[in-house]
Amino acid sequence: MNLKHKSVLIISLVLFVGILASGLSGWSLYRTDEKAIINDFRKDVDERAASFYREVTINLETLYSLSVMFSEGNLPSLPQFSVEAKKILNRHDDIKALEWIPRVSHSDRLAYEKENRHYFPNFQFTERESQGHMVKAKDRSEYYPVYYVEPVKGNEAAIGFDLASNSVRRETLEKSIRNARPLATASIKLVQENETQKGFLVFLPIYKGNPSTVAEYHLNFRGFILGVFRIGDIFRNSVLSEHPMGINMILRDETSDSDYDTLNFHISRTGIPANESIVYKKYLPDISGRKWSITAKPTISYISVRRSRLPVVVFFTGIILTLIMSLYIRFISRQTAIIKQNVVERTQRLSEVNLKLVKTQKELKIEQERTKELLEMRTEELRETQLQLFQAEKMDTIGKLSAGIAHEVKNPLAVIQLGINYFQKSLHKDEDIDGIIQDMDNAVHRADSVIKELVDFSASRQLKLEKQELNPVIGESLLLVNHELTKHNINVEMRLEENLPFIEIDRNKLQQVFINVLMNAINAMGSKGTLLIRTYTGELKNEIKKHNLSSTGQFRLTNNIVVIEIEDTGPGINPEDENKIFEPFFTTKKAGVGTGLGLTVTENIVRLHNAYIDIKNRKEGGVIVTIIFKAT
Amino acid sequence: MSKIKILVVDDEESLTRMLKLNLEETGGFEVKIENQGSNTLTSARDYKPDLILLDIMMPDMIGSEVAEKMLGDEELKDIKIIFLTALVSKQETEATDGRIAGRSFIAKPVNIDELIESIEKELGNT
Repeated sequence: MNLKHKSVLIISLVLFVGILASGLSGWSLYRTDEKAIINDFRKDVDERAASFYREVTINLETLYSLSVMFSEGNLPSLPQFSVEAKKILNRHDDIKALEWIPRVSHSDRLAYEKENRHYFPNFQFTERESQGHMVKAKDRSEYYPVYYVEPVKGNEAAIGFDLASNSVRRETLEKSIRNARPLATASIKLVQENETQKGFLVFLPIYKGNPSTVAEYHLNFRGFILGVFRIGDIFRNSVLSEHPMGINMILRDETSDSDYDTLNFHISRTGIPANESIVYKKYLPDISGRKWSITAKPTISYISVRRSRLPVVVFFTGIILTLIMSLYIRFISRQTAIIKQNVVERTQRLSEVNLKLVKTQKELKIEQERTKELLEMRTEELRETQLQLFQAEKMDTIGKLSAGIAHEVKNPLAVIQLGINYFQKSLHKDEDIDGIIQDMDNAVHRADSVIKELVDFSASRQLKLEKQELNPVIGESLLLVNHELTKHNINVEMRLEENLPFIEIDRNKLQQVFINVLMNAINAMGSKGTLLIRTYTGELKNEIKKHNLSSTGQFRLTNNIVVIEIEDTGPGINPEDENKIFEPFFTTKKAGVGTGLGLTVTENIVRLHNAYIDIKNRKEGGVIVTIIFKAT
Repeated sequence: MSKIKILVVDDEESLTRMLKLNLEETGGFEVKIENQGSNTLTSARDYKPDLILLDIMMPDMIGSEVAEKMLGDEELKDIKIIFLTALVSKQETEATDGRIAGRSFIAKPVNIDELIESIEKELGNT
């Protein structure tokens, strides 16, 4: 995976994790915040429920305050009751009516009906028939008629209504009597007002004396004080604040498990719809035997106004940090890429330089080898030169010496020569004297030759080297021996290769070499023969076998060479003498003809040319002289 | 026919004597000897030779110097000179036909017949 992909991956990962973390922390804070709000909401609802319950309790208390009028066996008159009831009603607008419902035995019915006709002319005990009409109550052992009512207005229909006529209601009442505590009824619809709302009744049983057993309760029971309460009004009165809370509430009666009775809807005064997802249900304490609950839902605004901005801030801060981090990583990865690129480039450059270095090193090594070789070559040459120099110096001394000797010897020789000449002419001669004089003459010639060749030998040490062609030198040499060739009747065959490479030679000295060799050949052939002269060029390695060279000497196998071969058709060299031919003073010539220094001088000159000379017999007879020069 | 007058100049007395003997023995030459190189010019003026046989390596004055001075002398410049010297070899004179740098040379030791041949050749050149 390359760096770019890697950085993209990392950035994607950071973005993903960053956004996720921001979202989660934002969401978590949001939830925490919401929980806090819900707690607040519940608290609000709890408070409201408490307030409502207190309001209900206060309302129920009015029944007890009224009950005071009925204590100690007192029975207030209707006006008396009305006065007290009015006082209460004035203070509690949520009470629709307060009533006195006495226990009336059948025997007292008429008296009760008659008594109350002072205030209500058509008063009689009534009950509701099956069609709903109010009719005169049927005879029963006991009646619980509505006897006093305050206010009368609006409650006219209820006056005289026997509550015992309804068996369900009668059950409730008797339960209340037995338990000696107030009992509330299920809700009733209150239609008589301009507004439809539900209400409920609470019966407070009144006893004579202080009964303590169920039997006493029953015996001493006098009647009920009844309160009719408007639930909606109570609820409204229990409001805690002038400011809308933003909570929707439903008040229910859950006394019966199967049938929830909705007592009151409270829609928040804000008029904003509820957040349906949050529901809180609060059960109120027992209300005169009834189990009421408040189910509350907050409005949307209730939640929203309480929400803190923190989750959003956290979320966006997280996102921003993530983005900054991503950008930073991108920047860093780009920087890294640039640095990496730099590193790569530099490494590459370094390795190039390294490569060059290695190459240079190799070249240096090769150069070193070459230099070493050259040095060895030069050293060899130097040693050779030194040797030659040493030899030259030695020979120079010999040369000077021999020149001096020559001069000193030649004068006496001249005297002897001339003396001999004189004797030859003036002396009386016989055969013996002629012989002696001739011997003396020969001796002088021989001495002269020796001296001459001795001088040549020593003088051969100093060469004047110039780059020359070989062929012209051969021509000149032949010209100098032309007289001898003619005299000895020698045929010359020339096979000279044209355009030979130049060689470094001392022209005069080389002439001397060729003359020596040619003269040897001519003398060897005597009166008849053929001289074959051949020149050619080539590489030494191709010639070495042909010439049967024992060593290359100062040549190298790759050297270009120039070769001259001079062959004669003479008798050849006596095999015994082959090794002696270059020895000084070795000669096969008659006394007085050769000094034995010719080939020594020749070899010396050849050697001074760094050339190679070989003299040997041909298979077909005669001698072949090979001289090999190094081409320049 | 008068004899050819030869002045022989050489520090080697035996040689000059031997030359004189040999040349005069032929009957064609009259020879005067001078053993001191530095006296050559004086002797030449006195003797007025046809040809001088001149040695080169002499102790007091070398032959080439003598020849040079003679060239500069109006009286002596036309006298023929043959250098008779041990400095050159017979092979050299043979190869060059006896002439080196425009001068005639004879290598020591010399055969009398060859010498006479050279002298006649030299004088015949004029």
